[in-house]
Amino acid sequence: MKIPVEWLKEYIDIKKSPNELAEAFTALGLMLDKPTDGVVLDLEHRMDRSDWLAIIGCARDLAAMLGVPLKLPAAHAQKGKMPGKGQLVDIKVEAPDLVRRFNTRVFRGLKVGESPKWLKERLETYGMHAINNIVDVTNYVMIEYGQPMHAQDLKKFDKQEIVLRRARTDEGITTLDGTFIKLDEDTLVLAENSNLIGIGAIVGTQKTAVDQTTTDIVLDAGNYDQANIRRTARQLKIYNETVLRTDKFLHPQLTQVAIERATKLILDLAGGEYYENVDYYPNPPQPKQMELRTNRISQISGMDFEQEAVRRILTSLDYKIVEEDDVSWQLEVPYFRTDVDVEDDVVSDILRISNYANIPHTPIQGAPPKEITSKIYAFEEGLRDILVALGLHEHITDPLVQHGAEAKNQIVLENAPTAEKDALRVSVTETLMRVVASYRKHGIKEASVFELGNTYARDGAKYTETRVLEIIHAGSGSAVENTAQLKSIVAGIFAELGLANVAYKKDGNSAKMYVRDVYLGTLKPASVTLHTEALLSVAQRTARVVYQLQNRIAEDLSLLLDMKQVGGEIFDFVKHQPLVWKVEITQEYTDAKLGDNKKSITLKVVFDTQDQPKVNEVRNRIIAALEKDFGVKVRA
Amino acid sequence: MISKIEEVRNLFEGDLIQAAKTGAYDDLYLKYFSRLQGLTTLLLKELPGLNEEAKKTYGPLINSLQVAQKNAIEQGKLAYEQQLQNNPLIDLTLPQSPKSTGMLHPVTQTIREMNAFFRYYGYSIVEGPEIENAEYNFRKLNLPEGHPATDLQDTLFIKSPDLMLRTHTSSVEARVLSSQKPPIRVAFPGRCYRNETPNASNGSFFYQYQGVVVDKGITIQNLMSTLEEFHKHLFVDAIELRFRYKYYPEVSPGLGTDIRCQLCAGKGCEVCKYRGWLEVLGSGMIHHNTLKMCGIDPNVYTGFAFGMGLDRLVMSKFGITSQKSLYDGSLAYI
Repeated sequence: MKIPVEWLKEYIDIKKSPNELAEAFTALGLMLDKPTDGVVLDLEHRMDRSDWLAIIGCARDLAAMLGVPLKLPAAHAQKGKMPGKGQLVDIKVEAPDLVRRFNTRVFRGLKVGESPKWLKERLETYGMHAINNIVDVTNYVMIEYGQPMHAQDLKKFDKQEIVLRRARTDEGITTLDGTFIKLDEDTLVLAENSNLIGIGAIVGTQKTAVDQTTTDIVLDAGNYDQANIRRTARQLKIYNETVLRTDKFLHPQLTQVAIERATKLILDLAGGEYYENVDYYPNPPQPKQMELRTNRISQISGMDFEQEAVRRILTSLDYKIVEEDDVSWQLEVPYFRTDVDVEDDVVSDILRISNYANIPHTPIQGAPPKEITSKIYAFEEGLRDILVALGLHEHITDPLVQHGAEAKNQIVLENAPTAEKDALRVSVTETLMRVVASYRKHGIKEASVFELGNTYARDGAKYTETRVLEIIHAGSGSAVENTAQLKSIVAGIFAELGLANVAYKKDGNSAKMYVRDVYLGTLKPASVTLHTEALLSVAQRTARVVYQLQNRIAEDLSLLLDMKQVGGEIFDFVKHQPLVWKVEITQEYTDAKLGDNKKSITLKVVFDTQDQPKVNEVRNRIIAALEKDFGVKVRA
Repeated sequence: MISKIEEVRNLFEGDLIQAAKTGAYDDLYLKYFSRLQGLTTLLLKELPGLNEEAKKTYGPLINSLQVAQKNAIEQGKLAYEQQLQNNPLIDLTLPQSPKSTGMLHPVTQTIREMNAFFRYYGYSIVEGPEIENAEYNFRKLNLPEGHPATDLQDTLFIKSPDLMLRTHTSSVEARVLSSQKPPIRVAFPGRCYRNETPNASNGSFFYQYQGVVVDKGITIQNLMSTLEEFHKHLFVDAIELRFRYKYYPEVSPGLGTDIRCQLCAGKGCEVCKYRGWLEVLGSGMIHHNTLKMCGIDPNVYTGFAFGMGLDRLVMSKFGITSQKSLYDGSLAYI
């Protein structure tokens, strides 16, 4: 909300500098949004207080805080002339669910012309162009009180009527600024004799606009279904000073206050006479009653307020005190405070007007409740520590991806802003891979990165989020070397979690990892996906294996095997032989000299003994079995 | 016997000179002291077979030989290692690139720093789903459909109007309040989404950090104290805070929090939009309606909630200029 300082002073007597005013407004909830030039205060508006889209509404709160009276401007509250025969402008509301009030007056014999200097200056300081005295008055009162109004030239009407109805799908409208807009059936329109003369509470048309030739007008101040106005304005992408207010919760009573003030200004500035016309207002709401308990104020604030101080604040904000005793106040909420919904909102007013800066700060008393942090949260924090210690860098990537036609269970968004991000990822590999690609583009070839994030899937009506640890390792060596490094990282994680017996089962181009029958995830040549919930379910408490140094006999076994052979099975076989303490892969390579489709693996087998004859025996048995059962040639 | 001793002694002296050149002191040790075949070991092994007189004569001799040899090996080794370190090729003034552990993502680092504060004060860290329904994302938070405040929440729908990507972590608040009985003290970092076209500097998701306390006797004074201590933890003890009224639909009374701009010391600069203050956090006393809808009696229990966006804070902490670059692979770590 923009507040020209000189205009504000029309309603309160203050000598404060613009900066001091800005500070007071900020404390009240109207934070200074842009630096002030000393002429206009640009205050942030938070959508609840429709009365803060009016200078008087802002001035009222400021006056209450500063303890000065609020001066309301002059209005013309007297009844107008009764319309003569055929002079009444008929108001037909055919969409009563969208219109709560349509308050109209007719003016005849006006002299339309330029507005006086003070009026033009105020509007321009606020940021609106002056047009003519009639249009300027409607804008001026809108800024003063927050109620948009609409004046139309009666002589431009084919029929003396205004119909408020839903648009037909074949209808469109050319607005005051010359734009043509197609409408739908949920749009409220104003019409006369089948001519559209406005989109209700949003924008008018050129057809009935007031100009220099105008002498008779119909002036309306309406109150509408706020949600419908919001919808239409957003759909049509119209954001103007009218919509800014009509899509908030305005009170129908405000139309009367505004139209009386506008009448005063029109008669003052354009002369003429004014006639009563239809005030469509079928269901005036009852004033809102609210009980404020004294102890609620202290329950929320921790402070005791003097009864007198509370009374002063309530009265200065226009709350009507219906009844009061030692324990509570019975209040009538001022009509313009459509934001006040619960007792605590009144408590807010009391604290706000007394300034938050005066509230002391006190630590919470009492013991903390039982810990409810989930095991998986703590576990993943531990995983992060392990991965970082292993030298991997953490990344977070965007889970929004392009919908893949082949991904059947993928969750697709209904209103994605771009086609490249219209679905949720089914794997973290693809999004984390972009990090590696970005690194490569910048000349960084070696990257060990991880992400702890979710994958998302849909199974019928069920939507699931799965926690995943994704690791991608890009090295500068050969493919075999890089994969070996990745496997070493994975083994390092398992070692930290105390998982000694992870089985790697071949599955096409990948290996599935299990502990007993618990599926942990999938290993691929450059990436690994692990399910952290599964890891948590098998992780051991005493994680790291600690052993004392001891001399053990180690022997190398070089095996020549078929390219297609599953190395993991051979490895597992050797590892589970008696006396075998540890098996390591020390070399993996292929070479033309080895023969077609052959590869060589060197195992370093460590025996848990220093007895060489026993080792010889086991070793020979292993070699025999490898050659017989696995068809492997043992080379040394 | 004496000649044997002399022989070993002489041989050792020659070997010692060799070892000083090659550094093979371990081999030297084994040659003289290996358990089975060490030359000095063999001399020692002969001792028990000698008569008393010979024992008295040769015992001390062999023993002193042993001590002298072991000392010589020890000292020689030390001297050799020192000499190695004096290698003119070692230039201690030329720095190397750092050997490094991996790094946590800046967002994770910041979350941990915040968690540390709240865990100390007895908060549990909780989570909730990113795929949410309107009940938890809006309604229970006092945000009815069509409410102007939903302006702040341009939603990405999976199935409108009821299934969406959460627009704030407040949905976790609604879940915790609905499932836990007071006293409640929780903090919840998490990822949220808004329907905004991603551009050069902003992506489609961001992080928030929120917290909730519900108990008997919780007041706005407790909230202010918590936020004050929290910001001292996050920044410096001397940090200056400003509390002001601010409307948020899920609280009443609402509380906005600013810190004095540290770049311009409050004089006004581009970063603080010439306000002198930086808005850091939104908070307030949990709305009467929210407590009620979550099954907590608002007349018995009161509570506060606070929440902040993490991305801006992370960016300023790490000197990163675009939000998007936090998540698109343009971060590299030293």
